[in-house]
Amino acid sequence: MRGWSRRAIGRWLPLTGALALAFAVGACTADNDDGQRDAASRRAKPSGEPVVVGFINLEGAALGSSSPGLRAGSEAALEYVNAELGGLHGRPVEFEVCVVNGTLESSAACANRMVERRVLAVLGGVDLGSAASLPILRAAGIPYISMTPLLPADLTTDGAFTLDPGGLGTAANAAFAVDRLGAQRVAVLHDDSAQGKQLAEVFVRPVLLKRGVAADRVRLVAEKQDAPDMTPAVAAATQSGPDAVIVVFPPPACSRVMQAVAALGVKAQVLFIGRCSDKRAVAAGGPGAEGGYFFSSVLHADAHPDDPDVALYRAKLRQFGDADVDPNSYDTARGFATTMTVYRRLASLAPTDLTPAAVTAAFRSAVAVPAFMGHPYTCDGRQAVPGFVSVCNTHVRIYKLDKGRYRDASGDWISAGAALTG
Amino acid sequence: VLGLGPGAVYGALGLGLMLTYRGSGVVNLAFGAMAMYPTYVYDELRTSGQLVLPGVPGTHRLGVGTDAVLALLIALAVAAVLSLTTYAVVVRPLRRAPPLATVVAAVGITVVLQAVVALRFGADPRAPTSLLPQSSFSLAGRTLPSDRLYLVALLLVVCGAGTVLYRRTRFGLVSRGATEGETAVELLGYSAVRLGAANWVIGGVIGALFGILLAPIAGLSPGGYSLLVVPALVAALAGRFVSTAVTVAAGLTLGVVQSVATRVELPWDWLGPQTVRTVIPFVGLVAVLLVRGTPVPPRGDGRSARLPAAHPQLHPWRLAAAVFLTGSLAAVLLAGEYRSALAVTMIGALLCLSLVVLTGFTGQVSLAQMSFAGVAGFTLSRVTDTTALPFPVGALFAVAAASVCGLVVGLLAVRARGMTLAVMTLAVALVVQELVFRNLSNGILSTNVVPAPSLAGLHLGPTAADGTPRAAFGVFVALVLSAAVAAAMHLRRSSVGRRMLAVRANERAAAATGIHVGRTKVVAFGLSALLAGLAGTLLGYQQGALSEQSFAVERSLLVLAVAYLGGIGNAVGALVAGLLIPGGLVATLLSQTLNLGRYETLAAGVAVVFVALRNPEGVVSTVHRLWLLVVRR
Repeated sequence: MRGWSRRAIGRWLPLTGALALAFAVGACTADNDDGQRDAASRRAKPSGEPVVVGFINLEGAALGSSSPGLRAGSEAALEYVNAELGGLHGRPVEFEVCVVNGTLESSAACANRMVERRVLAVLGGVDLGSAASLPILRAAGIPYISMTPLLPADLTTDGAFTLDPGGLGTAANAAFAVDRLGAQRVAVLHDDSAQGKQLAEVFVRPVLLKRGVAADRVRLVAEKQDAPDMTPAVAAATQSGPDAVIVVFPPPACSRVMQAVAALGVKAQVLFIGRCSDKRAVAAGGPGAEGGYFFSSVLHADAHPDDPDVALYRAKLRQFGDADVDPNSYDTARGFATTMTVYRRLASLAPTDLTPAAVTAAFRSAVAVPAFMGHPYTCDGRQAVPGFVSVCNTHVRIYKLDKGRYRDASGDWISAGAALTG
Repeated sequence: VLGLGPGAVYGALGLGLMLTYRGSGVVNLAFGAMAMYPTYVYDELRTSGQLVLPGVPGTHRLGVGTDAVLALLIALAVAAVLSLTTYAVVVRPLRRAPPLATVVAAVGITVVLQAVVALRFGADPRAPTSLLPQSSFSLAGRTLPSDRLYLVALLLVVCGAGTVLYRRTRFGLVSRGATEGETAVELLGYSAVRLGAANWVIGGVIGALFGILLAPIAGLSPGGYSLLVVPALVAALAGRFVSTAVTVAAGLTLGVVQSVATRVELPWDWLGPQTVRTVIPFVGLVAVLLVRGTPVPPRGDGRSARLPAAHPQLHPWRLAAAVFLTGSLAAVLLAGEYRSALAVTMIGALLCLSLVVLTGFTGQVSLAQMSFAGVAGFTLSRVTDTTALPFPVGALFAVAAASVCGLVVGLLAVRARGMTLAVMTLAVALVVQELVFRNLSNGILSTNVVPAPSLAGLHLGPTAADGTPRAAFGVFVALVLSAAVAAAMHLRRSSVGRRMLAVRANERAAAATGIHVGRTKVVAFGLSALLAGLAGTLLGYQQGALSEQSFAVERSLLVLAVAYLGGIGNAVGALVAGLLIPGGLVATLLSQTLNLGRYETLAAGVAVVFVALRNPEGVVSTVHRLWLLVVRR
């Protein structure tokens, strides 16, 4: 028998190395998952065949925009539902989680998995590939409930519903800047992408013009989220001395805007999107975050401690969420709130009606249905913004960061839809 | 003044690149990624006080709180260890390898570091708190941040210290001598390996230091930091990898010019200031290349030019028939997620085949394959959705567009080779991303739709009426792939293919035998882009819509890595690579059975580095040899 030469062994090493790595990592992963499942089953009270709800979210992709907070909040709510609310009609509720990486092919693969698993509905976190996944879900008749509508498919697909206004919230920022802050000269700092441009030109500028701001006093400045330096763009936006700057950037680009605001000594009021209010984004922003305004489609846990929904959210997140999860995180709050709102809608159905078609019908017939921590929603096709058939709620509140605490600056819900169409 | 911050970092990274080149003769394409990891370590220490190390599970609370100086020192120590490890494990064995192997290894390191960061720190971009004092000063009535000036001052100090070190000390003089010829230095009693390691550590620590200082200004993200290598390389090339002062000056100039470009308003909507800013380093790179054909000075010691074998293994038509039958049968037998993964696999194989033609046959590296695919995809979306060109006219038009794009890149790259060509194609990928994909990306109101193909009433689309994947689309893709495989194998046997192999083996010898080297390279780029365009077109049909994320620069790096892993020398290697492509059959199987989806990029990166080091002919040759061993026994 011939021995194996060093050369031959060297040539096999890549394959064996890759396989060894794969198995080693696989073993670790499998152990962790089992551990989590055991913990869940110990708490579980409901019994019978589980109700499977899909959950598609962008996580771990090397391109940013991912929102693990949405899943953290949703999973805490799910554990609460199973442990203390008896599941759904006595049956446990399970998430079929599918993580996407921002490409259309990964989203289409997730949609295929949802169709294969015959899920009751799909909760959508961040999915940049919804243009590929929603047609598949729609063809299979599976309703999709988005927590963060970002793209046309999220906003305009029949059979998709969103309880959050997403980018429409920037229209509320524009209305607030003029109506409450008295701004007459406004700069809009937005991402240099088709999406960023359209947000600024379709949602922000028209609202400002409708409220009497002169066209030459609205300045749109585009910059890339990953620009090597955000200061030149902030300098360009504040060159003409605006009363308010509306920033349409997600974190951490908005944190860098906050830093530039402080470095350049900007005096204008600065309004950000909701996700920029997260602890990490504000901490990175430094002194430039102080005094900033942030919209939110759910009641901010910091500003409304006495609200019963908020109190429940804080208590159950502490009980069922991970130790390091932040209750003031916008994504965590939206994840928890959306899951609870969807759960309540599903619980209103008869046990025999737990089918995708019945769930779709239930959402389609929703008119002014109370939402957990949010404004009541309406999905009957006569929503506030024509064409955006999926958007069931356009109301947000605006909070001000005041000495490190969030204060309810709007005092009531502001309808971004009404601001756009009214 | 505002552009001085990034400019200082370009200069510093250019300096670091120069030192690592001086130490090893390898232009380290992974330099940006290697500066990224310590920056994440620093940020994590500052925000949570936890130390996260690669390969060491869990996080470690050091009990030193979030002190800035300690965090900086620990992060720089991590940078030193990372540089030393990379040098010992990857760079040293590859010192005499052909540039392709070092490019692939660098891509592998980049992919590994990006994946490790995504797994250990999360993929979200971050905005770290600044280490430099956050004060302002007034200049001509404007308030300006002073941290930019501190950065430049620090760069000048480092530059001065470097000049003294390399001109006045024995270590520096010997290091410079090693660049001319390692053998001579070793004859004098110095260890070339130790010198190389020391220079790598110095370069790595400088890169990490400025990476950490830049993070609050530029933001921290795995992708963004990895791509910092492009402007850094422009600076280093301007200094010819020799002059410290020119490198630093070029870096600063680049930063300032980019900053000024942000304020220039052009009349064309598609050419915004941000796009101009991205194009500037590319223009600089092309200008340097046109002025100096080989701007990287050759190392004194020759390299052994062992490239992956490109021998034809099977008969073209037999292999094509086998591909078609296997693909079609699998498309019919598989269902659900596996059926769509099969389509991804076959499209991935087509992409890797495009690299076989370019890299395997012609020896040219391309980090822009997904850009060619994207040009075809977006063209297809435009011509079929807006002008309603029927199938297959629209598809052919799209493939032709990609091919023309490939010819243009080929023309620009005629004078570039090896590492310079790799960076040049990387710059092309960035420019295409800015100029084409970002302009055509999906907005709030618009989506790049690709209508499903149908021919003479035959529906070839990927999705059935009930939302499940259709077998017919798989058969269609298998048909296209098998035709491409047959064409590529015929090309290898044709006179054009033989000319390509001659160019790959030795450009001067090829030119001496009457082969037009430039023309051969341009043709190779054109044909390669044609195949990549075909893949982009099929990707568009499969997804029904297009987004820029599918064609991002990082995807091009991954495609090259996977193609090399499979075996870049022949068509069978491309087919194996297709199986390994992210989202393909192997990844889906591992994800479904072992829940390994999160680790697929990391595993691919590690395997690529391993293959580059131990077996340049890829997995296909390992399997082939294993098979022969079993048969002989």
